[in-house]
Amino acid sequence: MFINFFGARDGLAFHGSGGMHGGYPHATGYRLIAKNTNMEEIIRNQDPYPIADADPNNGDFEKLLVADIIRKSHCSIYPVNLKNYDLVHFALSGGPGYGDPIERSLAAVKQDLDDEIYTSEIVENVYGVKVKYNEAKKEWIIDKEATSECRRNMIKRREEESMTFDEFWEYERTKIIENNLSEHVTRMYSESIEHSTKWKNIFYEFWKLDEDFKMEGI
Amino acid sequence: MASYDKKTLERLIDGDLNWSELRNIIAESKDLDRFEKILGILQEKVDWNEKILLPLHEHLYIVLKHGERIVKCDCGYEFGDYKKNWKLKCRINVRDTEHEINELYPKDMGCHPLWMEIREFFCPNCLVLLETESVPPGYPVIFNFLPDIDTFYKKWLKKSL
Repeated sequence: MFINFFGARDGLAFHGSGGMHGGYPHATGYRLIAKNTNMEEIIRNQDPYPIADADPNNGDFEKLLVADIIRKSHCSIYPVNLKNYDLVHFALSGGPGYGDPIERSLAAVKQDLDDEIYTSEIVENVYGVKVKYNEAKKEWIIDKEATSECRRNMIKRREEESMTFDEFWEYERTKIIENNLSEHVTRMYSESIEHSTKWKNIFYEFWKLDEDFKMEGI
Repeated sequence: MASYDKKTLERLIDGDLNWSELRNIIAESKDLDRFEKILGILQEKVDWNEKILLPLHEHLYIVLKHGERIVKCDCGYEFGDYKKNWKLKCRINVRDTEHEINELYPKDMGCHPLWMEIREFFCPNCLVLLETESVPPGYPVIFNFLPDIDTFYKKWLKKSL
């Protein structure tokens, strides 16, 4: 049997220009294929099998199956030849975030954890929330004091690691004038410039490029 | 025509309404004095005196100061002329490596830095994260929104500024 997978949504790029009002863009997706599995044996023994891939860094597929597991992060993939007992999983993400993540209420973050929407690692890195899992109660406990400190440190880190606009402008412009962009991004800019004088003017004016500047390699 | 008390609108702004309360507000015709009431609530929330003409963004307002319309953060930082992109006054962090992107997303669920980068725009004073952009490397900074304040007041609100 041949199954023709195609990307219904993001692969290597977000399909929006950002989150909203400080929220981060929603996650991209990937296609998971598990081949040569031991599903026949799992079904015979009535053993648990993966029904989700909540934490790809620590995947249920790897934990519960004996199989050749591939995660394809490109948007479009070629048709894949599957046999009986092979598994496929499409990871779909939600919508983008709204507002500065470190202003998110602790109750909402706890709900996300209890609903297995986010991992504790992501919750710490994005929302600045420190948590522990209470095995007996089967619920996440938020450490409020550690969370306050974590969020203060994130604000400090924002100041230390960020740039002024002038520094940012030099940093980004260097990618263009020193030809440090990837081929597909270079091609996108090059073709947009060719198709639209309006776009060319915006691009050249913003980065103060000479009129005779050309994207290299295209 | 629906009308809502100040307390309800304060809870609306703070995101504290439950779905059944919120659903009714969304479904009903918009109350005619909503904008004035919202402006009143927002004006009470900030510590400065300049008149808010328009809420522009979370934390940001277009205010009237000495006859000029400027963008101001609720912390008090002034970004200047509302017709200029306030993001150009921000402190900016660029996440353009796999390590920096993977801090925010599980494996295979963030962008690839050769295709896209994430830019974070912080208020230079209070360092709140005001905006993120996910754009191809080298993309000009996006100007989000330039409201036509005069038309909005004269033709929509039928009020003078």
